[in-house]
Amino acid sequence: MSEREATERLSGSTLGLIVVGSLAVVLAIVFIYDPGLAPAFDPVLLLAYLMPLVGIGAALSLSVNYLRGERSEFDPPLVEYRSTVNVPGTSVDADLAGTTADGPLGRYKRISSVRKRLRTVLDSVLTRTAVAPEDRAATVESGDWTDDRIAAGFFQSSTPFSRSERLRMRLTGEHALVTQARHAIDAIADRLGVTDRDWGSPEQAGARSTVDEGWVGRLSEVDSQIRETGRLRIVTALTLLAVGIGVLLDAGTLVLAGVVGLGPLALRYVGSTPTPQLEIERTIDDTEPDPNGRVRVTVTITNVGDRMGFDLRYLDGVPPGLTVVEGSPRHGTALQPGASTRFAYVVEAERGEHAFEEGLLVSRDASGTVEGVGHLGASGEMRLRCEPKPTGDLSVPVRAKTSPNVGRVVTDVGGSGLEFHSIREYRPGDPLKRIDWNRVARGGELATMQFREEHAATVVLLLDARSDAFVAPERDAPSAIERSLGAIADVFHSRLDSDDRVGLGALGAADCWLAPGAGHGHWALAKRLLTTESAFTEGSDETFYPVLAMGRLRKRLPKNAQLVLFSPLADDTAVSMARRLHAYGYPMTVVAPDATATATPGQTVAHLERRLRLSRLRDADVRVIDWRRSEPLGIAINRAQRRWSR
Amino acid sequence: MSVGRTPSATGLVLTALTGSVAALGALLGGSAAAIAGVPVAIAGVYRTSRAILAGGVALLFAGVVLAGAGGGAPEAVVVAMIGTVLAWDVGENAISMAGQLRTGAGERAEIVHAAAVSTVTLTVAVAGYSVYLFASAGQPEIALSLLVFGVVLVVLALGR
Repeated sequence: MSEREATERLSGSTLGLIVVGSLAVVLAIVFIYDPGLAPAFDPVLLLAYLMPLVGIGAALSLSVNYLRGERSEFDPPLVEYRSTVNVPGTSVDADLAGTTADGPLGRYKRISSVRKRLRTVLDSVLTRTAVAPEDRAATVESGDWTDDRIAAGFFQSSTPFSRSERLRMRLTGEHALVTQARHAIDAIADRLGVTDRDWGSPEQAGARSTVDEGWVGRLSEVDSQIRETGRLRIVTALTLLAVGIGVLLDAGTLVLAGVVGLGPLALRYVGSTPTPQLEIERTIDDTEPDPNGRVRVTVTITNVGDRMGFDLRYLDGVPPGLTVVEGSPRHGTALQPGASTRFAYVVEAERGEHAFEEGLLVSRDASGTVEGVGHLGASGEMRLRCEPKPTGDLSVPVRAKTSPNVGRVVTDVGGSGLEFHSIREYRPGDPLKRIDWNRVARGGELATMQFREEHAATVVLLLDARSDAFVAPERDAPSAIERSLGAIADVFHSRLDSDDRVGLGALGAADCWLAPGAGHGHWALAKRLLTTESAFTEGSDETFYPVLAMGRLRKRLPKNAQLVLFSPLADDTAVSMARRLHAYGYPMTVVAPDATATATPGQTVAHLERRLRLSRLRDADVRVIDWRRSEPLGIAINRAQRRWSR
Repeated sequence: MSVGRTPSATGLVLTALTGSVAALGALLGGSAAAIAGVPVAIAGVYRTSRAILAGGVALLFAGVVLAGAGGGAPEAVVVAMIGTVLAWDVGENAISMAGQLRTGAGERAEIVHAAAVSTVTLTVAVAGYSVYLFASAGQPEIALSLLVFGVVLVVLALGR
């Protein structure tokens, strides 16, 4: 804090109070030293009773206001978690819990928006479970779609609760509509056949999210600031109470005891404002780890200033796309000039290049009443690069749409090849070795054997890298993007190995494109793109325009290309883009890593919505590979292939 | 890895220590009420709840008031008050550390903070006690009135 601000804090009425108060104290001490100077009468006798009452009143109001929240303390973001990734359905949970709304009306609006969303889901579910579209509205209004009257009531105009039930809810502080919403989610999930849920009972709100412990965000979102914490108000209150009660009860020892509280208060004014000069150095034990490898980050803090740092609380700038798995990136210490301290934590590497952010320092003065928050750059290693390591034995099956080039995709075209296809009459110019000599020997006509030709396919792998696609089933579970990046590396590599031409593109605000090509040099290009493209690790803040992106993509796609889209299908845009590309004549396969969970009602809603999206894709003849959580992609492909027609 | 608000062991020990000093002082001054405040204050730090900690400190302070009003020895009352003030200070500091550092380490800063605050508080207490010893003879009433008037004003101005 600057000196100007320090004097401002003491200006005006505060300074006046101090001057008057100090004069009174000095006068009192003079009278104590020389009682002869004191006037025989007591003109301020009234004060002797008034002031204690004023003091007690002020003390009570100070402490009550303090405890009711009139205090200020920096609340740092949870840097331990990735700030780039959302858990689908969290917003529904927040709406139901009422944490996002202000006031009863706002809460009602939030619940109405949830109802609207659920109604859309319910309509799709009813269509899929043999209710004709024209009967849908009647079915919902009559409540025939479920046995649960509370669930049915959520979409009806009348309340399903009896008077006594409403009274009980009022007493327990339950919100009737929220209860109904939970029942509705439960009933819709049952109707769609989603029964293996982690969230079981509609009476309960489901698992508490770890994010309730704080907010997840980036350190760069935090503004530098200096504030008063107000933590000594309780001490002020104790002092005033001791003095006030002491005077009223005529207990001198209590007045004396009140003086004690002046100690911490004095410390707040003799102490300097916290402006420590620190140097941060960071070392990383492996800057190029394997995917999911553990990386130890060691941070050294040195006080290079000439003042004592009494209370230093440092948060290291963990890359936004990484999760801390061991230890803590936060450290609190006190440092004398020249002293240093060291701490370490472990992050789990994810594919891509991750840059460390500036750290954050929360420093307090000796009394802890002034708190400064500021950013602090670190020297040393700033980046962590994690290259995809393809295993090479995984491949998404391609369709028989191919280019004229020779490759390994067995087509339905007869010609030269290995697998028998058909026999046709001999035409002049057919190669001698393909003439069916057995037939000639039996005395038949000359005939030519045809084999299925093997051609190369042109496969373009698309990654859904829109901000909506940065999702994970849990805060610290592998994200959809991360799983997709791993799978893309595998598929890219194995398709190159089978002589196909492979390209790479991203559907996202940032443009990213690698034209189809072949050979080992092409893999090197792809690897670099997958590793260094920041749009894959942190996402982009820019708006994504589907129409523009689709136009750009169509100009680039070769005519004979087939597409594999990696997308968690976290919103309807992903579905419509996939369906449209398929309709344009590019055979589409969607690999959909499942990033939904069922631990809360909101997550269940997101889970149901994803199921319905998968169905909509299948309706459009798009091949869908539903890649469940913690399952190798190969198994998901095998399972999906069983339901595909050739 | 957890990001729960976990207070450090140091913070709990410091709160227990200062709370016990308060309880002991009040006990010597003739009031046993403060003993109940020690576990409440520790529970407040453990649960990282400022309200519970304030409740514990209020119980400790009740001990100080009872001892002071009941004519306990001034030394005991002052010691009890020192313990009460410090219990709030180190306890609140531990709670704030737990909130900002979560499971991260902050013991060193807590000990330094406790040492700094204790030193200043003790110094002020000794100074106040010296004045008290000197002034305990019959003084004009107006002196006391002015003293209280001034102290309340200054404390209100500085400690808001």
